[in-house]
Amino acid sequence: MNADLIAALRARGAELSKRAIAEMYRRPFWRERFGDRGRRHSDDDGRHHVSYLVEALEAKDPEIMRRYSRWLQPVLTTRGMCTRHLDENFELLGRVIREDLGPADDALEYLQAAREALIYPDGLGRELQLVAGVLVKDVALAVHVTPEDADDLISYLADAAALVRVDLFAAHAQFLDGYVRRHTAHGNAVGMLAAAGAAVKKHPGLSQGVRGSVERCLASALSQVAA
Amino acid sequence: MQPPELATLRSRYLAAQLSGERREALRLLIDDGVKQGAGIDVLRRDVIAAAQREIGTLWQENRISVADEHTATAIAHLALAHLYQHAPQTRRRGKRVMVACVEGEQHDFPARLVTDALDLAGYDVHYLGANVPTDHLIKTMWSRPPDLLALSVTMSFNVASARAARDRVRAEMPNLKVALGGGAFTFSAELQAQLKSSLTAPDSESFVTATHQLWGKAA
Repeated sequence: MNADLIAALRARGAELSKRAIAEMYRRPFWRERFGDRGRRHSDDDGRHHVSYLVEALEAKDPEIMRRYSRWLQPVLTTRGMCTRHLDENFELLGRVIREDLGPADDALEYLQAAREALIYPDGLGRELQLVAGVLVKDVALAVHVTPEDADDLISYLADAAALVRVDLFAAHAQFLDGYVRRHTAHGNAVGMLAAAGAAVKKHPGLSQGVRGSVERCLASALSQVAA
Repeated sequence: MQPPELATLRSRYLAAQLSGERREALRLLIDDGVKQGAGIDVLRRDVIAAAQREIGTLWQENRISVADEHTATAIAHLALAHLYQHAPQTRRRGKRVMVACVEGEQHDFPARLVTDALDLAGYDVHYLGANVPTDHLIKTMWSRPPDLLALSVTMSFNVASARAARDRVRAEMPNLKVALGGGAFTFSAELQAQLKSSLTAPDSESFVTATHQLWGKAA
């Protein structure tokens, strides 16, 4: 019964969202990129996700989660995160809810609606999002990179294209360079950026607009990394 | 005042807000607004409220900080008060409206817009401001019974407080009309109907019109 699910989420939502965040923070990227302050913001965001989910369930309206997701996307992507991070957070929250509260079909359906709402409705960002899987695979074949780092890289490119904010991608690349040097034997951002550029060049279906956006992002990023 | 002139005024007013230039913001509204023939309601809706929406977007996109947003919103409150003093007062209508943000709701600007609009339209308004605990709301309603209660909810996670307040009011004052509004209802088209709001309106001026219609009064 949804009333039971709603009551359980009200009572235990904070604890469940904290577990989802803790799962994300097993990846050292989070602590190194955003620190303790970032962790506190993440915990706050997690509680908000549950609050909005509860209200969506009360109203029997998944549109509340879709609109929340679309509103939150630029809040986070202009502050150092990428769309994939929010998607992952929603996915992990769904997993934790299922593990702890049982099937919870409506909650999972509404979280899935929130995830689908993160696909840009149109434009260059959407174009990149729709081929992200292929691009990530090509990057992973070209350079030694973790799946998460490759996924993030393409997601940051898509967000930069959607927001027309080359600087956001360049900031990520600057952090990424130090990060991969600390965590991999031979990794560096230059290789990853080159692989991403090659993957985009190779893909037959992408528009000139997307190619131009990616070129500008990579050029700016390379100047930051080389500096 | 024509839309392009309003757009210019809004742009200059917003710039003054974001620079923290209180006096310049007020001067623009009067010298470039009122004295150029713009109605008070038009300035409230198309300059002040529109600028606040722009400020929300600027914060969302990390183009301004929380501190900038607070500075700008404080100026918006001052601007509303300044326009209130310049507005022609209409005859009183003999009806009292209580306006409050539900428990937990800190965003009080929309409620302030509605409060001033109702007051300038002739209603006696008892404005309780942000984050009104439900118990205190009920006590205040018993001590100064309104003819209409308007509850404002901006953040969706405060809808639960709106439900609780509505349920308490319905239980204790079943004949009182209760209007629920605010940004939370733009996230769900169904929500106001579900909560059985006595009237719905997308902005403060429309809310005044709907309030007139509630009692069969002319505008």
